[in-house]
Amino acid sequence: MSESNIDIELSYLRKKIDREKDARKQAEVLLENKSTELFDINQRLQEANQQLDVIVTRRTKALKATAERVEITSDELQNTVNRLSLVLDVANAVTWLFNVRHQTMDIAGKSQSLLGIEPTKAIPADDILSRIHKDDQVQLTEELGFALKEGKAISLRCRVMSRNGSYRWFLINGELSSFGAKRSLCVIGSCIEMHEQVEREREVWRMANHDALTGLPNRNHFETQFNALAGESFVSGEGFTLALIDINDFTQINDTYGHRTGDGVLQDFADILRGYSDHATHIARLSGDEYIVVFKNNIATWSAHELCQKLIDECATMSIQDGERLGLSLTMGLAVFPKDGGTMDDLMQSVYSAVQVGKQKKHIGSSCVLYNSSIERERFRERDIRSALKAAIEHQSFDLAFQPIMCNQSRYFVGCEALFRWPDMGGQWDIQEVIDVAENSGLILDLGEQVIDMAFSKLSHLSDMGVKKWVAINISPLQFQFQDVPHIISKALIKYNVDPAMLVVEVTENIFLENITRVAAVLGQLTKMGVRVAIDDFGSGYSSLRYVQSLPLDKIKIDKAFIDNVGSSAESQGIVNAVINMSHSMNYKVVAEGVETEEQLTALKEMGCDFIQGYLFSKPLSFDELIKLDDFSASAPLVLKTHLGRTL
Amino acid sequence: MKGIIFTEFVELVETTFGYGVANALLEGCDLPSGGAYTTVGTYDHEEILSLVGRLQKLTGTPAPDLLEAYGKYLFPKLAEQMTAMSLKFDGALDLLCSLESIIHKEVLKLYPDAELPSFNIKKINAKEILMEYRSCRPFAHLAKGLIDGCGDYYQQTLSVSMKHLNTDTEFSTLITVRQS
Repeated sequence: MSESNIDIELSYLRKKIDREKDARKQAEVLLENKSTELFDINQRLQEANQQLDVIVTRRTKALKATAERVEITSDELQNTVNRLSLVLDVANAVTWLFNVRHQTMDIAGKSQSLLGIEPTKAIPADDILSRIHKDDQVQLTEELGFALKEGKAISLRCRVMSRNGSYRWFLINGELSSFGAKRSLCVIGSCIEMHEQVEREREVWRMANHDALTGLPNRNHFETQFNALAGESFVSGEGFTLALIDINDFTQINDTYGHRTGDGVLQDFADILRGYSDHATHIARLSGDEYIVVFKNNIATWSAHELCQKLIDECATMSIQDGERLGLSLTMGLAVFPKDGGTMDDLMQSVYSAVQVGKQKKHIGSSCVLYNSSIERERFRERDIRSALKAAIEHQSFDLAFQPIMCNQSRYFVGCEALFRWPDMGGQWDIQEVIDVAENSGLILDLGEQVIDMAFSKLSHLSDMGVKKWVAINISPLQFQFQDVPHIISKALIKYNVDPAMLVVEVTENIFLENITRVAAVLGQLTKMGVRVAIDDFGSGYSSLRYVQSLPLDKIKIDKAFIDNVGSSAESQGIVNAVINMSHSMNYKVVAEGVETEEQLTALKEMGCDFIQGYLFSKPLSFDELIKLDDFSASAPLVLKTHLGRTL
Repeated sequence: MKGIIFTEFVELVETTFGYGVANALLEGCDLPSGGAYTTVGTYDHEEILSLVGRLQKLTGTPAPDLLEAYGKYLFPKLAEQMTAMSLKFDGALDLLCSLESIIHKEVLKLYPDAELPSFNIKKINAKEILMEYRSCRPFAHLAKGLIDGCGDYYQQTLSVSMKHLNTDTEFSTLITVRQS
């Protein structure tokens, strides 16, 4: 290598060293820049890292909070599930899910102890259905069908076979729903055991609808049953016969034998009625002594009548305690649905009318009356009287007539009987019929009060005139039963300021049918007030000497039926004589009613009858006519003449 | 253009042509950098064009041949960097097919400001690919030298043909590479 080449190379290498130095400086600057850049990047990374840390911390916190919430929710859910499970256990309930597609059921809860089924899934629905009582299966299937087709909620009671194989009552509720990820169609519900409750309800229903003494259905049950039977009858077009049975004078059995025996008789009677169950759709006890039998619609009315007759015969001799025989007298009414009444009220009205007709003959024994149009006419007639009577009571349009009563010894008129009169009464009715209607309808209570007031008004008038003669007024047994008669009379005595001795209260023997202790007490009160008491129409009713003896009486009025035959019938005369003697032996005066002939008068005089009342001396008179009677107003004995003109 | 292209080029000139040519080359070009290159630096690509143009005059070797020879010389240096970047390929064609999708992406991660040519690569068959070179710089021959260097690196024989499709605004060349 030449020297110049060496110089060139050296020069190049020197320059290269310089260039390398420059390059190194460049590189150092670059590195410095890169270092700064890296530092900045690092700084930014740190900041980013910090921000990331903040974000991570925040996110972690949020996640923790969410996790805690999830945990709490999970706990709450678990608690809810536990509570639900407890509630199901306490309520003796299970839950069920009916998978519509697979026709299976899932059961959860106390199904093992309640139903003997392990809580499990996918039990074939038919297996469950077979555990439902056969009478309830159709309804359950129908309700499930409605739930599926119309989305209608299920709620029904049915009997489900329990663990021991017996059926128990459950309340089944359910609703259409869906379940699982695929939202499969299902019906979800509960099955709550309510056997005890249903049994209690049935017991309550039984008590509310049955008579405790006889165990027969009561009026309430009869009314429900009647509506159902009437509905069926309208659909089928076939009527039925209904019998109303009334035990005649049942209170006498209670009074005579005691309530325990009376109850026994009613129970025996109910058993006899049950013997007719094959012929009847319904047998019920409506009240104390009223029973109803609804005959099957294939029993013709004449057959029903025969069966009633058979019942009457069966009851004619019943055995009571110690083998004693007792004849039970029945009054039965028969009416046909819908011919004799298209509603229960109308039919009952008809059958009651028939019984009323029978009741009129009860003194001759049992009877069975088939309702007919004449009874209906009678019923309308009674209704008309009732209606007119009501209006008349409101307008106080009544009056009194007075029939004088003569002393058989002194021949004075010593008093009179006030008789009810209704001046505006229609000509088609008679006064006794009106009184009967008033008695049957209860209108006698208001009417009786008006009569008492009118009688007192006239008594006051007589008193003012200085006429000291008694006035007898009739008091109905109904008034004794439902009104405070002594109080009413006491008020009138004060109001009119009359001497109580001028008043005679006449009561009929029917009063003995009431509580005799109470009757005795009431009559005793009247006697204490100074009012005198007479038994009217003696001999026409019970004529119980025991009662007559025990009551505080002043007079006995012999029924006109006996007086009619005095003088012509030795038998009647004997009875009248006996009554007079008996009454006198008890210090009671005797009044003979309805004396119309001199023969009767002579005979009664011979028998020592104290007082005479009748057409022989005077018909019933208006008050003005009465006070114009010299014989009545005079205080001295007069020679009386009969209207036949003979001097007595 | 990254500094390694310059440092390696100068080193190649020093090695192949001696310090005298290298001195004449660097002294004869009016280089803004003054020829003080560092591998981590970035320099104007015009400088390499100046250097190649000057070398052509000094040595009488055509510029495309110089660029191809340089590319062939450069590839193993770049391959070292690929190894450092844990990039591994089954062979030359595998590497070339991954040029755009893997290698350039990794280069850009290291040098976000690097201006790389684009290659649209089409696989003709298992042994042949078609590479469409597109760049604002006229370095298609450098690319060819690199492809040759790649073949050498994987010890595979590649035949590389080029078809220039340059326009006024862009340098574009279709490069067909066949492995034999």
